Amino acid sequence: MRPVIERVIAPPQVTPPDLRGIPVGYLNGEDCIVNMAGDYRYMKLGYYGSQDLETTGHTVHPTCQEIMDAYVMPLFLEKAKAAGLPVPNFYISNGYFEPPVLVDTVNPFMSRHSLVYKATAQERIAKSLTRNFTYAVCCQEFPHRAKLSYFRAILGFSPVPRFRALASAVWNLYRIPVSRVRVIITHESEILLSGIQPLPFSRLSERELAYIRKAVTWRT
Amino acid sequence: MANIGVFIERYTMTRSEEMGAVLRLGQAAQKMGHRLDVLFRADMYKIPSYDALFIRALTDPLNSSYVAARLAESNGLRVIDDPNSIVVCCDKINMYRHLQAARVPMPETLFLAESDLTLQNGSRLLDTLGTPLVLKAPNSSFSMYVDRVATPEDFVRVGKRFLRRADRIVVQRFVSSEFDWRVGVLGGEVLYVCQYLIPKRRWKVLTYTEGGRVIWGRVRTFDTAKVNPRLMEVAVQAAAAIGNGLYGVDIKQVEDDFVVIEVNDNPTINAGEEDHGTPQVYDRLIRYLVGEWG
Repeated sequence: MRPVIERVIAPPQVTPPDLRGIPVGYLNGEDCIVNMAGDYRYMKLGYYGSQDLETTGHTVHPTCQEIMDAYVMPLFLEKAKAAGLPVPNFYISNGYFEPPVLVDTVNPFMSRHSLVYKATAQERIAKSLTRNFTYAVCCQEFPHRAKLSYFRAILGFSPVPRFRALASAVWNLYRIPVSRVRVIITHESEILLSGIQPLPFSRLSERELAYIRKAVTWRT
Repeated sequence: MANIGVFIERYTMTRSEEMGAVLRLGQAAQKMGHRLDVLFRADMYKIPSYDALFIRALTDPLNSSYVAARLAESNGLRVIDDPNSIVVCCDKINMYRHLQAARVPMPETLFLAESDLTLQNGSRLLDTLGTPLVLKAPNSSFSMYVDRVATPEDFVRVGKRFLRRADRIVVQRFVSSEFDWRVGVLGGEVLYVCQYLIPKRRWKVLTYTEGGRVIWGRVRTFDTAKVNPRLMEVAVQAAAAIGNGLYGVDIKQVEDDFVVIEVNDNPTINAGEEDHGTPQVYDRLIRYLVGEWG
Protein backbone atom coordinates (compact mmCIF):
# COMPACT_ATOMS: atom_id res chain seq x y z
CA MET A 1 0.00 0.00 0.00
CA ARG A 2 2.62 2.53 1.02
CA PRO A 3 4.48 2.87 -2.26
CA VAL A 4 1.25 3.85 -4.07
CA ILE A 5 0.48 6.47 -1.49
CA GLU A 6 3.98 7.85 -1.51
CA ARG A 7 3.73 8.28 -5.26
CA VAL A 8 0.51 10.27 -4.92
CA ILE A 9 1.04 12.24 -1.78
CA ALA A 10 3.34 15.18 -1.91
CA PRO A 11 6.43 15.06 0.16
CA PRO A 12 6.51 18.35 2.06
CA GLN A 13 7.03 20.40 -1.05
CA VAL A 14 6.52 23.91 0.12
CA THR A 15 7.27 26.30 -2.68
CA PRO A 16 9.76 28.78 -1.26
CA PRO A 17 8.76 32.40 -1.25
CA ASP A 18 9.63 33.79 -4.62
CA LEU A 19 9.02 37.49 -4.55
CA ARG A 20 9.75 37.92 -8.26
CA GLY A 21 10.95 41.49 -8.18
CA ILE A 22 8.49 42.84 -5.60
CA PRO A 23 10.28 45.58 -3.62
CA VAL A 24 10.41 44.39 -0.04
CA GLY A 25 12.39 45.89 2.84
CA TYR A 26 12.81 46.10 6.58
CA LEU A 27 11.11 49.12 8.07
CA ASN A 28 13.73 51.02 10.06
CA GLY A 29 12.84 51.30 13.74
CA GLU A 30 10.15 48.61 13.58
CA ASP A 31 10.56 44.86 13.68
CA CYS A 32 8.70 44.19 10.46
CA ILE A 33 8.98 43.84 6.72
CA VAL A 34 7.16 46.18 4.37
CA ASN A 35 5.93 45.13 0.97
CA MET A 36 6.35 48.26 -1.14
CA ALA A 37 4.65 46.92 -4.30
CA GLY A 38 2.04 49.66 -4.09
CA ASP A 39 -0.47 47.62 -6.06
CA TYR A 40 -1.95 45.13 -3.61
CA ARG A 41 -5.04 44.12 -5.57
CA TYR A 42 -6.41 40.72 -4.60
CA MET A 43 -4.53 37.87 -6.32
CA LYS A 44 -2.10 40.21 -8.05
CA LEU A 45 1.65 39.96 -7.54
CA GLY A 46 1.80 42.54 -4.74
CA TYR A 47 -0.87 40.63 -2.82
CA TYR A 48 1.00 37.36 -3.27
CA GLY A 49 4.19 39.05 -2.07
CA SER A 50 2.54 39.68 1.30
CA GLN A 51 1.01 36.21 1.32
CA ASP A 52 4.44 34.64 0.62
CA LEU A 53 5.92 36.43 3.59
CA GLU A 54 2.99 35.84 5.92
CA THR A 55 2.80 32.11 5.25
CA THR A 56 6.53 31.74 5.86
CA GLY A 57 6.17 33.29 9.31
CA HIS A 58 7.37 36.85 8.67
CA THR A 59 5.80 39.94 10.19
CA VAL A 60 4.84 41.92 7.14
CA HIS A 61 2.73 44.94 6.26
CA PRO A 62 0.34 44.86 4.66
CA THR A 63 -1.04 41.45 5.62
CA CYS A 64 -3.68 39.90 3.39
CA GLN A 65 -6.36 41.01 5.83
CA GLU A 66 -4.97 44.57 5.99
CA ILE A 67 -5.16 44.63 2.19
CA MET A 68 -8.80 43.57 2.17
CA ASP A 69 -9.69 46.05 4.94
CA ALA A 70 -8.23 48.85 2.84
CA TYR A 71 -9.25 47.82 -0.66
CA VAL A 72 -12.84 46.66 0.00
CA MET A 73 -14.66 49.97 0.12
CA PRO A 74 -17.29 49.41 2.86
CA LEU A 75 -14.60 47.93 5.12
CA PHE A 76 -12.27 50.86 4.45
CA LEU A 77 -15.00 53.31 5.45
CA GLU A 78 -16.16 51.30 8.49
CA LYS A 79 -12.60 51.07 9.81
CA ALA A 80 -12.00 54.80 9.36
CA LYS A 81 -15.30 55.63 11.03
CA ALA A 82 -14.56 53.34 13.98
CA ALA A 83 -11.16 55.04 14.39
CA GLY A 84 -12.73 58.49 14.39
CA LEU A 85 -11.35 59.55 11.02
CA PRO A 86 -13.65 61.78 8.96
CA VAL A 87 -15.67 59.92 6.32
CA PRO A 88 -18.86 60.80 4.43
CA ASN A 89 -22.15 59.06 5.21
CA PHE A 90 -22.21 55.78 3.35
CA TYR A 91 -24.38 52.72 2.78
CA ILE A 92 -24.40 49.44 0.87
CA SER A 93 -27.06 49.09 -1.78
CA ASN A 94 -28.39 46.62 -4.33
CA GLY A 95 -28.50 49.44 -6.84
CA TYR A 96 -30.74 52.20 -5.52
CA PHE A 97 -29.04 55.45 -4.48
CA GLU A 98 -29.80 59.13 -4.41
CA PRO A 99 -27.43 61.53 -6.20
CA PRO A 100 -25.19 63.33 -5.61
CA VAL A 101 -23.32 60.21 -4.61
CA LEU A 102 -19.99 58.47 -5.15
CA VAL A 103 -20.60 54.83 -6.03
CA ASP A 104 -17.96 52.06 -5.77
CA THR A 105 -18.37 48.47 -6.90
CA VAL A 106 -18.26 45.62 -4.38
CA ASN A 107 -17.71 42.50 -6.45
CA PRO A 108 -14.91 40.25 -7.71
CA PHE A 109 -15.34 41.13 -11.36
CA MET A 110 -14.81 44.87 -11.56
CA SER A 111 -13.27 47.67 -9.59
CA ARG A 112 -14.81 50.96 -10.65
CA HIS A 113 -16.36 54.05 -9.21
CA SER A 114 -18.70 56.66 -10.54
CA LEU A 115 -19.59 60.11 -9.25
CA VAL A 116 -23.29 60.53 -9.96
CA TYR A 117 -24.76 64.02 -9.84
CA LYS A 118 -28.05 63.56 -11.67
CA ALA A 119 -31.00 61.42 -10.66
CA THR A 120 -31.67 60.68 -14.35
CA ALA A 121 -28.37 58.75 -14.53
CA GLN A 122 -29.12 56.66 -11.44
CA GLU A 123 -30.65 53.56 -13.04
CA ARG A 124 -28.19 53.33 -15.94
CA ILE A 125 -25.14 53.59 -13.68
CA ALA A 126 -26.64 51.29 -11.04
CA LYS A 127 -27.32 48.64 -13.67
CA SER A 128 -23.77 48.85 -14.99
CA LEU A 129 -21.95 48.88 -11.64
CA THR A 130 -24.05 46.10 -10.09
CA ARG A 131 -23.88 43.90 -13.22
CA ASN A 132 -27.60 44.05 -13.78
CA PHE A 133 -28.46 44.47 -10.10
CA THR A 134 -26.68 41.28 -9.02
CA TYR A 135 -23.81 42.60 -6.91
CA ALA A 136 -23.58 45.28 -4.26
CA VAL A 137 -22.37 48.85 -4.51
CA CYS A 138 -21.05 51.09 -1.78
CA CYS A 139 -22.50 54.60 -1.90
CA GLN A 140 -20.92 57.67 -0.29
CA GLU A 141 -23.06 60.77 0.01
CA PHE A 142 -21.32 63.55 -1.87
CA PRO A 143 -21.77 66.94 -0.22
CA HIS A 144 -23.01 69.90 -2.26
CA ARG A 145 -20.14 71.78 -3.99
CA ALA A 146 -17.58 69.25 -2.76
CA LYS A 147 -14.60 68.13 -4.87
CA LEU A 148 -12.98 64.76 -5.32
CA SER A 149 -9.22 64.81 -4.80
CA TYR A 150 -6.29 62.42 -4.34
CA PHE A 151 -2.97 62.37 -2.54
CA ARG A 152 -0.11 59.90 -2.45
CA ALA A 153 0.84 58.38 0.88
CA ILE A 154 4.20 56.66 1.37
CA LEU A 155 4.71 55.05 4.79
CA GLY A 156 2.66 57.83 6.37
CA PHE A 157 4.34 60.59 4.42
CA SER A 158 2.71 62.83 1.84
CA PRO A 159 4.71 65.26 -0.29
CA VAL A 160 1.79 67.71 0.06
CA PRO A 161 1.84 69.38 3.50
CA ARG A 162 -1.96 69.75 3.59
CA PHE A 163 -2.39 65.97 3.55
CA ARG A 164 0.47 64.97 5.85
CA ALA A 165 -1.59 64.43 9.01
CA LEU A 166 -4.10 62.31 7.12
CA ALA A 167 -1.34 60.31 5.38
CA SER A 168 0.10 59.49 8.78
CA ALA A 169 -3.32 58.49 10.16
CA VAL A 170 -3.99 56.28 7.12
CA TRP A 171 -0.66 54.49 7.54
CA ASN A 172 -1.18 53.94 11.26
CA LEU A 173 -4.66 52.54 10.72
CA TYR A 174 -4.40 50.51 7.52
CA ARG A 175 -0.66 49.68 7.28
CA ILE A 176 -0.68 50.04 3.50
CA PRO A 177 2.86 51.31 2.75
CA VAL A 178 2.22 52.84 -0.67
CA SER A 179 -1.15 54.16 -1.73
CA ARG A 180 -3.13 56.77 -3.57
CA VAL A 181 -5.72 58.08 -1.15
CA ARG A 182 -9.02 59.41 -2.40
CA VAL A 183 -10.60 62.23 -0.43
CA ILE A 184 -13.68 64.40 -0.64
CA ILE A 185 -12.98 68.06 0.08
CA THR A 186 -16.12 69.84 1.17
CA HIS A 187 -17.00 73.42 0.37
CA GLU A 188 -15.98 74.23 3.96
CA SER A 189 -12.52 72.70 3.24
CA GLU A 190 -13.12 69.66 5.44
CA ILE A 191 -11.22 66.63 4.14
CA LEU A 192 -13.18 63.35 4.23
CA LEU A 193 -11.48 60.01 3.59
CA SER A 194 -13.10 58.26 0.67
CA GLY A 195 -10.92 55.33 -0.40
CA ILE A 196 -7.51 53.84 -1.11
CA GLN A 197 -6.28 52.96 -4.56
CA PRO A 198 -3.17 51.19 -5.88
CA LEU A 199 -0.04 53.23 -6.56
CA PRO A 200 2.52 50.96 -8.24
CA PHE A 201 6.08 51.32 -6.97
CA SER A 202 7.28 52.01 -10.52
CA ARG A 203 5.27 55.23 -10.56
CA LEU A 204 6.85 56.81 -7.48
CA SER A 205 8.68 60.09 -7.88
CA GLU A 206 12.35 60.64 -7.05
CA ARG A 207 11.34 62.55 -3.93
CA GLU A 208 9.13 59.67 -2.77
CA LEU A 209 11.88 57.15 -3.47
CA ALA A 210 14.33 59.26 -1.47
CA TYR A 211 11.90 59.17 1.46
CA ILE A 212 11.63 55.39 1.17
CA ARG A 213 15.42 54.99 1.08
CA LYS A 214 15.60 56.71 4.47
CA ALA A 215 12.79 54.64 5.99
CA VAL A 216 13.49 51.20 4.58
CA THR A 217 16.50 48.89 4.39
CA TRP A 218 16.09 46.80 1.26
CA ARG A 219 15.95 43.03 1.72
CA THR A 220 18.64 41.13 -0.05
CA MET B 1 -31.78 33.57 24.12
CA ALA B 2 -29.39 34.48 21.32
CA ASN B 3 -30.21 36.37 18.15
CA ILE B 4 -28.67 34.69 15.13
CA GLY B 5 -28.56 36.27 11.70
CA VAL B 6 -28.29 34.26 8.50
CA PHE B 7 -26.81 36.37 5.74
CA ILE B 8 -28.13 35.37 2.33
CA GLU B 9 -27.45 36.68 -1.15
CA ARG B 10 -30.53 36.02 -3.23
CA TYR B 11 -28.61 35.39 -6.43
CA THR B 12 -26.65 32.52 -4.88
CA MET B 13 -29.71 30.73 -3.46
CA THR B 14 -30.81 28.78 -6.49
CA ARG B 15 -32.10 25.43 -5.19
CA SER B 16 -35.03 24.75 -2.89
CA GLU B 17 -32.80 22.33 -0.93
CA GLU B 18 -30.59 25.28 0.08
CA MET B 19 -33.56 27.24 1.44
CA GLY B 20 -34.83 24.04 3.04
CA ALA B 21 -31.62 23.81 5.03
CA VAL B 22 -32.02 27.40 6.27
CA LEU B 23 -35.58 26.61 7.37
CA ARG B 24 -34.39 23.51 9.25
CA LEU B 25 -31.71 25.64 10.91
CA GLY B 26 -34.41 28.09 11.97
CA GLN B 27 -36.47 25.26 13.48
CA ALA B 28 -33.43 24.01 15.39
CA ALA B 29 -32.76 27.52 16.73
CA GLN B 30 -36.37 27.94 17.84
CA LYS B 31 -36.40 24.53 19.53
CA MET B 32 -33.29 25.54 21.48
CA GLY B 33 -34.81 28.85 22.54
CA HIS B 34 -32.97 31.13 20.13
CA ARG B 35 -34.14 33.47 17.42
CA LEU B 36 -32.95 33.24 13.82
CA ASP B 37 -33.49 35.98 11.24
CA VAL B 38 -32.63 35.97 7.56
CA LEU B 39 -30.61 39.05 6.60
CA PHE B 40 -30.19 40.35 3.08
CA ARG B 41 -27.66 42.84 1.78
CA ALA B 42 -29.78 45.84 2.71
CA ASP B 43 -29.90 44.57 6.32
CA MET B 44 -26.13 44.60 6.70
CA TYR B 45 -26.21 47.61 9.01
CA LYS B 46 -28.17 45.47 11.51
CA ILE B 47 -25.35 42.93 11.90
CA PRO B 48 -23.83 44.56 15.04
CA SER B 49 -27.14 44.06 16.86
CA TYR B 50 -26.94 40.25 16.54
CA ASP B 51 -25.04 37.72 18.66
CA ALA B 52 -23.90 35.51 15.79
CA LEU B 53 -23.90 35.42 12.01
CA PHE B 54 -24.11 32.46 9.65
CA ILE B 55 -23.27 33.21 6.04
CA ARG B 56 -25.11 31.31 3.34
CA ALA B 57 -23.89 33.13 0.25
CA LEU B 58 -21.10 32.78 -2.25
CA THR B 59 -18.00 33.85 -0.34
CA ASP B 60 -15.20 35.87 -1.89
CA PRO B 61 -13.06 38.53 -0.22
CA LEU B 62 -14.33 41.01 -2.80
CA ASN B 63 -18.01 40.18 -2.29
CA SER B 64 -20.49 41.62 0.17
CA SER B 65 -20.51 38.30 2.06
CA TYR B 66 -16.94 39.06 3.16
CA VAL B 67 -18.02 42.53 4.25
CA ALA B 68 -20.75 40.90 6.35
CA ALA B 69 -18.25 38.45 7.89
CA ARG B 70 -15.71 41.15 8.70
CA LEU B 71 -18.36 43.47 10.15
CA ALA B 72 -19.59 40.64 12.33
CA GLU B 73 -16.11 39.74 13.54
CA SER B 74 -15.10 43.32 14.28
CA ASN B 75 -18.30 43.74 16.31
CA GLY B 76 -17.52 40.66 18.39
CA LEU B 77 -20.07 38.28 16.85
CA ARG B 78 -19.39 34.58 16.41
CA VAL B 79 -19.39 34.12 12.67
CA ILE B 80 -19.41 31.26 10.17
CA ASP B 81 -17.49 31.78 7.91
CA ASP B 82 -14.97 33.88 9.71
CA PRO B 83 -13.13 36.36 7.46
CA ASN B 84 -9.78 34.62 7.75
CA SER B 85 -11.24 31.33 6.53
CA ILE B 86 -12.76 33.17 3.56
CA VAL B 87 -9.44 34.83 2.70
CA VAL B 88 -7.58 31.51 2.95
CA CYS B 89 -10.06 29.15 1.28
CA CYS B 90 -11.16 31.41 -1.57
CA ASP B 91 -7.59 31.58 -2.84
CA LYS B 92 -6.32 28.09 -3.61
CA ILE B 93 -2.70 29.26 -3.45
CA ASN B 94 -3.23 30.38 0.14
CA MET B 95 -5.31 27.31 1.00
CA TYR B 96 -2.75 24.79 -0.34
CA ARG B 97 0.04 26.67 1.42
CA HIS B 98 -1.75 26.20 4.73
CA LEU B 99 -2.23 22.50 3.98
CA GLN B 100 1.41 22.06 2.99
CA ALA B 101 2.62 23.86 6.10
CA ALA B 102 0.50 21.52 8.26
CA ARG B 103 1.82 18.49 6.31
CA VAL B 104 -1.65 17.41 5.28
CA PRO B 105 -1.56 14.51 2.78
CA MET B 106 -2.40 15.91 -0.65
CA PRO B 107 -1.39 15.41 -4.28
CA GLU B 108 1.83 17.12 -5.29
CA THR B 109 1.03 20.77 -5.82
CA LEU B 110 3.03 23.64 -7.28
CA PHE B 111 2.30 27.31 -7.82
CA LEU B 112 3.13 28.96 -11.12
CA ALA B 113 3.45 32.53 -12.33
CA GLU B 114 3.20 33.71 -15.93
CA SER B 115 6.93 33.28 -16.57
CA ASP B 116 6.62 29.57 -15.63
CA LEU B 117 4.12 28.86 -18.41
CA THR B 118 6.49 27.58 -21.05
CA LEU B 119 6.40 24.47 -23.24
CA GLN B 120 9.61 23.25 -21.57
CA ASN B 121 8.09 23.58 -18.08
CA GLY B 122 4.89 21.90 -19.27
CA SER B 123 6.87 18.99 -20.66
CA ARG B 124 8.94 18.68 -17.49
CA LEU B 125 5.89 18.78 -15.22
CA LEU B 126 4.03 16.20 -17.31
CA ASP B 127 7.08 13.95 -17.00
CA THR B 128 7.52 14.40 -13.26
CA LEU B 129 3.91 14.68 -12.02
CA GLY B 130 2.35 12.43 -14.64
CA THR B 131 -0.22 12.86 -17.40
CA PRO B 132 -2.68 14.51 -17.23
CA LEU B 133 -2.00 17.43 -14.91
CA VAL B 134 -4.72 19.44 -13.21
CA LEU B 135 -4.57 23.21 -13.53
CA LYS B 136 -6.65 25.42 -11.26
CA ALA B 137 -7.27 29.14 -11.16
CA PRO B 138 -6.85 30.19 -7.52
CA ASN B 139 -10.38 31.53 -7.18
CA SER B 140 -12.15 28.63 -8.85
CA SER B 141 -15.30 27.31 -7.24
CA PHE B 142 -17.96 24.76 -8.11
CA SER B 143 -15.45 22.98 -10.40
CA MET B 144 -15.16 26.03 -12.69
CA TYR B 145 -11.71 27.07 -13.87
CA VAL B 146 -10.33 23.62 -13.10
CA ASP B 147 -9.04 21.74 -16.14
CA ARG B 148 -6.91 18.74 -17.10
CA VAL B 149 -4.05 19.11 -19.55
CA ALA B 150 -2.16 16.34 -21.28
CA THR B 151 0.25 18.19 -23.57
CA PRO B 152 2.72 21.06 -23.08
CA GLU B 153 0.68 23.11 -25.59
CA ASP B 154 -2.50 22.67 -23.52
CA PHE B 155 -0.53 23.42 -20.37
CA VAL B 156 0.46 26.83 -21.77
CA ARG B 157 -2.94 27.57 -23.34
CA VAL B 158 -5.07 26.69 -20.30
CA GLY B 159 -2.56 28.23 -17.90
CA LYS B 160 -2.65 31.55 -19.74
CA ARG B 161 -6.45 31.50 -19.73
CA PHE B 162 -6.48 31.01 -15.95
CA LEU B 163 -3.89 33.74 -15.45
CA ARG B 164 -6.45 36.27 -16.64
CA ARG B 165 -8.08 35.80 -13.24
CA ALA B 166 -4.97 35.95 -11.04
CA ASP B 167 -1.20 36.31 -11.18
CA ARG B 168 -0.62 32.74 -10.03
CA ILE B 169 -2.16 29.38 -10.77
CA VAL B 170 -2.06 25.93 -9.22
CA VAL B 171 -0.74 22.81 -10.93
CA GLN B 172 -1.45 19.50 -9.28
CA ARG B 173 -0.94 15.79 -9.85
CA PHE B 174 -4.18 14.21 -11.13
CA VAL B 175 -5.77 11.60 -8.89
CA SER B 176 -8.48 9.54 -10.56
CA SER B 177 -11.60 8.44 -8.65
CA GLU B 178 -15.29 7.63 -9.04
CA PHE B 179 -16.28 9.91 -6.19
CA ASP B 180 -14.99 12.58 -3.84
CA TRP B 181 -15.46 12.20 -0.14
CA ARG B 182 -16.88 15.39 1.37
CA VAL B 183 -16.38 15.66 5.11
CA GLY B 184 -18.05 18.56 6.88
CA VAL B 185 -16.00 19.73 9.85
CA LEU B 186 -17.12 22.26 12.44
CA GLY B 187 -15.07 23.41 15.41
CA GLY B 188 -12.53 20.66 14.82
CA GLU B 189 -15.12 17.83 14.82
CA VAL B 190 -16.73 15.93 11.97
CA LEU B 191 -20.24 17.17 11.25
CA TYR B 192 -21.23 14.91 8.34
CA VAL B 193 -19.70 12.61 5.77
CA CYS B 194 -20.92 12.11 2.25
CA GLN B 195 -19.74 11.13 -1.20
CA TYR B 196 -20.15 13.30 -4.25
CA LEU B 197 -20.33 10.84 -7.14
CA ILE B 198 -18.60 11.76 -10.37
CA PRO B 199 -20.98 11.43 -13.34
CA LYS B 200 -20.10 8.79 -15.94
CA ARG B 201 -17.57 9.81 -18.60
CA ARG B 202 -16.63 12.90 -16.50
CA TRP B 203 -13.79 13.55 -14.09
CA LYS B 204 -15.31 16.26 -11.89
CA VAL B 205 -18.34 16.26 -9.62
CA LEU B 206 -19.73 19.23 -11.51
CA THR B 207 -19.30 19.62 -15.25
CA TYR B 208 -20.38 22.55 -17.40
CA THR B 209 -21.14 21.51 -20.98
CA GLU B 210 -20.50 23.77 -23.95
CA GLY B 211 -24.25 24.19 -24.28
CA GLY B 212 -24.38 25.68 -20.78
CA ARG B 213 -25.87 22.61 -19.11
CA VAL B 214 -24.60 21.69 -15.64
CA ILE B 215 -24.09 18.00 -14.91
CA TRP B 216 -24.12 17.23 -11.19
CA GLY B 217 -23.00 14.07 -9.48
CA ARG B 218 -25.32 12.40 -6.98
CA VAL B 219 -24.79 12.81 -3.24
CA ARG B 220 -24.59 9.73 -1.01
CA THR B 221 -24.53 10.27 2.75
CA PHE B 222 -22.90 8.11 5.41
CA ASP B 223 -23.25 7.51 9.10
CA THR B 224 -20.08 8.97 10.63
CA ALA B 225 -19.85 5.97 12.96
CA LYS B 226 -19.46 3.66 9.98
CA VAL B 227 -16.77 5.35 7.88
CA ASN B 228 -13.04 4.74 7.99
CA PRO B 229 -11.66 6.72 10.97
CA ARG B 230 -8.59 7.62 8.89
CA LEU B 231 -10.86 9.57 6.50
CA MET B 232 -12.14 11.69 9.37
CA GLU B 233 -8.67 12.08 10.86
CA VAL B 234 -7.34 13.49 7.58
CA ALA B 235 -10.36 15.79 7.23
CA VAL B 236 -9.96 17.18 10.74
CA GLN B 237 -6.24 17.71 10.16
CA ALA B 238 -6.96 19.61 6.93
CA ALA B 239 -9.66 21.75 8.55
CA ALA B 240 -7.35 22.59 11.46
CA ALA B 241 -4.76 23.85 8.97
CA ILE B 242 -7.25 26.59 8.02
CA GLY B 243 -9.03 27.42 11.27
CA ASN B 244 -11.72 26.36 13.72
CA GLY B 245 -14.84 27.12 11.69
CA LEU B 246 -17.05 25.22 9.26
CA TYR B 247 -15.36 23.56 6.31
CA GLY B 248 -16.13 21.04 3.61
CA VAL B 249 -13.03 18.95 3.06
CA ASP B 250 -12.85 17.20 -0.34
CA ILE B 251 -10.84 14.02 -0.18
CA LYS B 252 -9.94 11.33 -2.67
CA GLN B 253 -9.39 7.76 -1.60
CA VAL B 254 -6.24 6.05 -2.86
CA GLU B 255 -6.50 2.40 -1.89
CA ASP B 256 -6.80 2.55 1.90
CA ASP B 257 -5.47 6.02 2.40
CA PHE B 258 -6.79 9.49 1.71
CA VAL B 259 -5.49 12.67 0.07
CA VAL B 260 -7.04 16.09 0.47
CA ILE B 261 -8.05 17.76 -2.78
CA GLU B 262 -9.22 20.99 -1.20
CA VAL B 263 -10.81 22.64 1.80
CA ASN B 264 -13.89 24.75 1.16
CA ASP B 265 -15.25 27.41 3.42
CA ASN B 266 -19.02 27.84 3.28
CA PRO B 267 -19.67 24.22 2.32
CA THR B 268 -22.99 23.28 0.83
CA ILE B 269 -25.54 22.03 3.36
CA ASN B 270 -28.70 21.08 1.51
CA ALA B 271 -31.84 19.66 3.02
CA GLY B 272 -32.04 15.95 2.25
CA GLU B 273 -28.43 15.77 1.03
CA GLU B 274 -25.57 16.64 3.42
CA ASP B 275 -27.94 16.51 6.41
CA HIS B 276 -29.43 13.13 5.43
CA GLY B 277 -28.66 10.66 8.18
CA THR B 278 -27.12 13.36 10.37
CA PRO B 279 -30.06 15.59 11.39
CA GLN B 280 -28.03 16.81 14.35
CA VAL B 281 -26.09 19.03 11.89
CA TYR B 282 -28.42 21.95 12.61
CA ASP B 283 -28.34 21.58 16.41
CA ARG B 284 -24.55 21.60 16.30
CA LEU B 285 -24.43 24.64 14.06
CA ILE B 286 -26.69 26.53 16.46
CA ARG B 287 -24.70 25.42 19.49
CA TYR B 288 -21.49 26.55 17.79
CA LEU B 289 -22.97 29.92 16.81
CA VAL B 290 -24.23 30.68 20.31
CA GLY B 291 -20.89 29.69 21.81
CA GLU B 292 -22.07 26.58 23.66
CA TRP B 293 -19.65 24.35 21.77
CA GLY B 294 -16.50 24.53 19.60
